[in-house]
Amino acid sequence: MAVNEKELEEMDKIFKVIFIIGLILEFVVAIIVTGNATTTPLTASQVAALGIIAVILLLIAGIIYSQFPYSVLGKPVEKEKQKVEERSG
Amino acid sequence: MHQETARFLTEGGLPYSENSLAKKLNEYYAVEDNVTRWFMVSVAGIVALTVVAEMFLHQIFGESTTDSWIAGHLFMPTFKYSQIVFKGIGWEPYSDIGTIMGAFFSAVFLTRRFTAFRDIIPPSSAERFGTNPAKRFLGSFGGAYLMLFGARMADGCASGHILSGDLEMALSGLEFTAAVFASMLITAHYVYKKRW
Repeated sequence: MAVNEKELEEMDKIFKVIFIIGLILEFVVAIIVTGNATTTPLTASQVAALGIIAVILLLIAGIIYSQFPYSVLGKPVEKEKQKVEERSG
Repeated sequence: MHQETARFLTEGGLPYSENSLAKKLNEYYAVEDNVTRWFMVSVAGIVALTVVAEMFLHQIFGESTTDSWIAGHLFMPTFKYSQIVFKGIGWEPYSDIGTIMGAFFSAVFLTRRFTAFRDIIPPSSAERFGTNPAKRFLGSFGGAYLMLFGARMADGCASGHILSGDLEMALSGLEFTAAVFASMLITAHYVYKKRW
C-alpha cells in the first residue's frame, strides 16, 4: 500500500466533507433551477445542473478511494492475494 | 450462508473496523432473512412514504423513463416517441440523481461498500461464469439492455409499475409485478442452475 493509514483516514474525512457540501449544493441548485415548483417537464439544462455535481463527486471519490486497499468484509485482502500468488508461482 | 452473502456484498469495498456501523449493516442487518424485523420494516416504510409523498405531489416514482429522455435528447430529438417523453417527463431524472446520491451516501458513510470503479467480478458471477472480464461485461451489459428494453416496452420499470402502480392499486401494476417475479424466479433458476 503506497499511502499510509493515517493519510487514508484524512483523505476519507476530506471526501466526506466534500460530499456533504456537494449534497447541500444539489438541493440548493435544484431549488434555484426549478423555481421550487417542478410542475412542468424538466429541461436538459435543469437536469444537467444537478447531474454534473453527482458526476464530479463520483470522480473525486473514485480517485480518493482507489488509494484504499481492496477489502472483503472490511478487511484488506492484498496480503492474502499476494500469498496465494506466491504459492501458485 | 449469511457470512457468504456479506462477503458478496463487501467484495472490493473499503476497509472498516470491528466495532463500526458498517460491520453491523453489512454482516447483520443487510443479510437478515426475516423481513418482519424492525429494520427491514423501517426500510420498507421509508420507501413507501417516499412513493406516497410523490403521489401527493402529483408525480410518480419512476426511473427508466430518464433513459428514453437522455437518448432522445442526445440522439433523436425529433423522433415522435422522444417528443412524447419530453412532454410527459416529470421528476424522473431527479429521482435517478437522488437514487445515485442516496446509494453513494450509503456506500461512503454507512456500509463502506464504495468500490472506486475497481475491476470487480462479483463472487456469485465468478463462481457460475468464471473470471473472464469480457464475459462479465457482456452478461451485465446484455442483461441491463434487456431489462431496459422490457421496461420501455411496458412503458415503465419496477419503480414506476411496482412501487407507484401497486400503491395506486393499478391493475397494470399488479400484472407487471406478477410477471417480474415469475420471470425473476425462472431466470435465476436457469441462469444459476440452482433449485429454489
